[in-house]
Amino acid sequence: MVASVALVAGYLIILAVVAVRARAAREYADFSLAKRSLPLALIFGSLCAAYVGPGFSIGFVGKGFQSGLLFLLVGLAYAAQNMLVGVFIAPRLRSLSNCHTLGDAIGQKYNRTCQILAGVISVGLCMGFAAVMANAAGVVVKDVFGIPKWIAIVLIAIATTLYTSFGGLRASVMTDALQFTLFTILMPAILLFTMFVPLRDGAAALAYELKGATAAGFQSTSWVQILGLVAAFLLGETLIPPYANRALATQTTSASRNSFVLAGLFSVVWFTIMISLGIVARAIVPAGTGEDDVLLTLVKTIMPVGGYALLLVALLSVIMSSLDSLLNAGAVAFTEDVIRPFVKISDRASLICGRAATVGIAAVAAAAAVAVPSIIKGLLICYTVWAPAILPVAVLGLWLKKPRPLAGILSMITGVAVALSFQFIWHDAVEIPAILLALAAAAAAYVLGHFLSVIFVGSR
Amino acid sequence: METAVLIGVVLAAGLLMASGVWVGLVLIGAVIRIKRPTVAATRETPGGGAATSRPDSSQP
Repeated sequence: MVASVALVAGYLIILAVVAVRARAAREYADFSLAKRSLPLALIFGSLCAAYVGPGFSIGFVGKGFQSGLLFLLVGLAYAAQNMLVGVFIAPRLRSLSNCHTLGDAIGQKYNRTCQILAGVISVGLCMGFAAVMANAAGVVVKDVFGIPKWIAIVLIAIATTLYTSFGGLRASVMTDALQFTLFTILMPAILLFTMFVPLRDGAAALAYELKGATAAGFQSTSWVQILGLVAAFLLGETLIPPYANRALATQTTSASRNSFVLAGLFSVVWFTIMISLGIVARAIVPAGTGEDDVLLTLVKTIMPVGGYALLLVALLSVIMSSLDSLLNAGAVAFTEDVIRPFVKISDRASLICGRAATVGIAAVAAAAAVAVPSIIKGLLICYTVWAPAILPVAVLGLWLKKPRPLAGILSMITGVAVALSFQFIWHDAVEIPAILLALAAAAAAYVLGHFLSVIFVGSR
Repeated sequence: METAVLIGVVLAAGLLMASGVWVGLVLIGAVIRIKRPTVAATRETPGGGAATSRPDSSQP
C-alpha cells in the first residue's frame, strides 16, 4: 500500500514538473495549437498516448484473453486508418491556414452553420470519450488508495484539468510524451516478466493458449459482428478532435503526415503486445474473469507489490494522457466552433473561455463516468456516433473542389440521428451494426444534399 | 511455432521500448530547451535599458 501510494505520488510529481516546464499558455494560439511549434517525435508520442487509452490497454488485454488474435485483426483496421489519415488527410488539414480545429476546417470548406454543428458534435464526443477515460481512471485509483470510485474519478479529473487548463495543448503534448515513455517501457516489461518468470516457458504457453483462444473467439463472433468491429475501429476514431488538433499543431505538413503513419505502425506493435498479454494470462488468470479485470488480476497474481504499483503508474499514464487530450480538444472545439462564430471575442477572452470549457467538460465527464457500461462498449458507442456524423463531411470537404453546405448539414444531422436511434432505440431491430447503417445514411444524405444544392442553387 | 512466437514477442517489446526511449529523449531535450532562451533572450533595447523577451517557442 505504502509503495503503491509512493510510486503514484512520485509519478504525479514528475508529471507536475513537466507540466510546469511546459508553461502556462498566455495566448489562445498557444493554448489551442501550441503555436504550431511541436516536433515530430512529440506529436508522434502524444498521438499514440492519446489513442492508447484504457480501451487499447485494459480492454485489449481482456479481448486477447477472451478471443485470442481476433482483436489483433480488428486492431489492424485501426492501424490502417491512422496510416490512411496520415497519407491522405492530415497534410491537407495542416495546409489550411488559420485553422484551429476540425470544425474550423469544416467551416472554411462549407459555412459557419456546418462549423457550429461540427463543434457541437466534437464537444459532445469529447465529453463521451472523457467519461470513459474517467471511469477507467476511477477503477485504477480506487485500488491504490482504497477510496470510493467516485472520489477516485474526481481526484483524477482535478489533476488532469489543472495542467490541461493552464498549459493548453503544449502541456498536454509534453505530459503525453512523458506518459508514452512510461507505458511503452512498463507494459512490454510486464509481458516479458509474465512469460519468463512465473511461466518459465512463456513462449510455449502463449503458442498453446493462442490456438484455443483464437478458435473460441472466431466461433463466438459472427462475421457480421466482426465486420461491424472492423468498421468501428477503421472509422470510429478517424480525426476525432484530439487527433485533428495534433495534425494541425505540427511544424510542417510532412511532420503531420509522418506522425500519423508512425502512429499507425506503432499501433500494430502495441496491439500485438496487449493481445499477447491477454492470451498468456489464460495460463494464470481464472476463466470467467471479467474482460476489464484481466490485466489487474494478472499483475496482482504474479507480481510483488512494487510491480503492481508500477502497473498502476503505467495505467494512470495511459488514462491521463487520453483524458488530457480530450479535455483540451473539447475545450478548443467549444471556444473555436461554438462560441467564436457567434461572438467576436478577444484573444484573452478566448483563452479564458478555453480554460473554463476544460473545467466544464471535465466536470460533465466525471459526472457521466458512473454511467459507462464497460470500457470497450463505451468506446464503441462514441465511435458509432462520431464516424457517421463527421467523416463524410470532413473527408469529402477536404477533397471536393466545391463542397456544398446543405450536403454537410444534412449529412451531420442524419449521421447523428441514425446512429443514436440504432444504438439506443432499435439496437435489436437489424443485424447490421449501427455504425454501418448510420454511415450509409450519412453518405446518402450528403449525396442528396449535394445534388439538391447543385439543382436549386446552381454550380456557383 | 514457439520460436516464432518468442522472436515476435521479444521484437515487438524491443520496438515499443525503443520508441519510448526516443520520445523520452526528445522530451528531455524540449524541456531543457524551454528554459535556456529565457536567459539568452535578454537584450539591449534602443533606449539603453534591458528587456527580457519570452522564449520563442515557435522555433524548433
